[in-house]
Amino acid sequence: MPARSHLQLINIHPREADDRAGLAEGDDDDGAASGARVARMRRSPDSPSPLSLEEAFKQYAPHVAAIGFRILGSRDQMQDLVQDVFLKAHDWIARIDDPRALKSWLTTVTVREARARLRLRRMRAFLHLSDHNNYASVASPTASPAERALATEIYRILDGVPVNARVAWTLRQVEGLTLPEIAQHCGCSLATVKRRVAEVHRIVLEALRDDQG
Amino acid sequence: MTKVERDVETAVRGIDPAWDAKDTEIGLAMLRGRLRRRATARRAGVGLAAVAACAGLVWGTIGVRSSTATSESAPAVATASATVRFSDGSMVTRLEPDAQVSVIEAGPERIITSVERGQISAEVTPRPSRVFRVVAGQVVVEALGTAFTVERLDERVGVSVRHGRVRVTWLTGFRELGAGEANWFPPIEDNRAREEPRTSGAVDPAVESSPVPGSSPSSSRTPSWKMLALEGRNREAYALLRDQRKNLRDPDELLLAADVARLSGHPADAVPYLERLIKESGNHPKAAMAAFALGRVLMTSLGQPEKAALAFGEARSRAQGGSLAEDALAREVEAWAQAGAATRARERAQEYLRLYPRGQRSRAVKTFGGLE
Repeated sequence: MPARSHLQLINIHPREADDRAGLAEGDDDDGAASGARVARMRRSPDSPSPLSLEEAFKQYAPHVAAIGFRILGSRDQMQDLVQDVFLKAHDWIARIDDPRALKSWLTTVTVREARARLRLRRMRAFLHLSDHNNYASVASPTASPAERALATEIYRILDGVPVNARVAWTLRQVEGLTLPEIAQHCGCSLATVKRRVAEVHRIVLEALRDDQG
Repeated sequence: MTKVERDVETAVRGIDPAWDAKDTEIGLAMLRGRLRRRATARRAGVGLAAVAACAGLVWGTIGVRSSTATSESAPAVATASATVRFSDGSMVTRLEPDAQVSVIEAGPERIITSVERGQISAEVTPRPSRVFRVVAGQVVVEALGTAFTVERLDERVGVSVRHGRVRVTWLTGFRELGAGEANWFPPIEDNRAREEPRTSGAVDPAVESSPVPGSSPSSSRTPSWKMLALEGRNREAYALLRDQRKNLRDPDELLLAADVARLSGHPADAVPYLERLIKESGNHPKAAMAAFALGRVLMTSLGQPEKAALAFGEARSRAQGGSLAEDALAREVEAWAQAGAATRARERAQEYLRLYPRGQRSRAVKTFGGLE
């Protein structure tokens, strides 16, 4: 898969945007609410045919995996995340008329699942149920040692920032989504996204400057 | 754009899972398997419910989904059972058909279950040496020898105590409930205060409609510095921490306190926590991490590279191998170089290259050790 091939902008029909505007950040639902909203999306005459679950998996699993990996920084958790996202998709895919909406829906579900896992991870760390996360392999094996070390350090720093802010920053800086897209997938306002991204960016840069003396 | 910003951009550009066709095939096979198992479980659930209904008892099943638990620590529980009984006699019973409970850990020292949704009750055999916790989202209920119920509605968690006492902890506070007391957590005021502006202006229905059976939890409004730290609110955590610094003993608390001091802009205050942890924790694994953190603070924030080098050496000897030892040795090279001790830096660099010929920090080590 070519690196960052998923950076294409997601086309959103105005009606879809209206529908998704009701998705609030705190709704870590099981996909049902967002699925129901997608289900209401009308299929335009020029829309391609709906996808089966297997077709959707083949087409969008790399996209889901990339977002999950970049948010979580863990290959093991990414595999589980992909499974869980498509299990949810199984319940709703038959109702999604327009397959172009599917990618956006999957992105939103992936972001929510990843966010829930980060929260659980943090809670487990608080309860002394897990060790510190190992981000040594977060960077590509083809990256230089310095880049790998820096990527590891960045994810360690991200472990110390609030989960919602971490997700917003990662989607912006690592995944390369636009701010409105992030607001849509995170279920919060554009102003909130801007504030979160800027705050985490400041923390990351300050911490790295500290490291570099 | 500064150099650091450029470095960050370059580093994150290479973060990619490299998902390929093989991953897709494997993932698809796993997905098919999970769908088959889910369909089988649903059919079995329908059958059991029918049988139970005939008997006049609709119990349903407890789904034990303990992917995070080690298999040896999880109790031997039939997935079609309504009650999980632990070896010490404690029991967790599902009170709603669609309640979902996971056993995260079940051992002699700790029993930890997680409620994903629905209502459960717990009968806990008093045993001071064993911790009994129920985790529901971001709320943790810890039993102090008691019987209680936990009900989870999305992010809202209702706790009702029949006898004994429980301690309920959430991200910004805690509260103890006694026999006959009940409440919803996090407290509604707490949720509203934390609510962010939303695109749609919609209000979380769970927050609006949740009943509040207990009295106002005014006594629970004191936020914990640890919770604030876990949320990344280090400046607020530091302000609370100043009054409690002498009471800290636990290695994890000391390490977290050092992080709070460092990240809130008070690196010098991190040093005593780390030194105490190293001194008082013996062979605790966190002592190696503390020594490493001490080295970083001394080198990067306090400009004391010689002391930092000694701290990194301490971290290396305590880590006894592993990635922390490798990092510590690389940092030790850098610290000696900064301290102007070129000979020591070169010796440590040679040692690093001998121990870790393909080490991630080889390039930096060669540079600081004067081997290039």
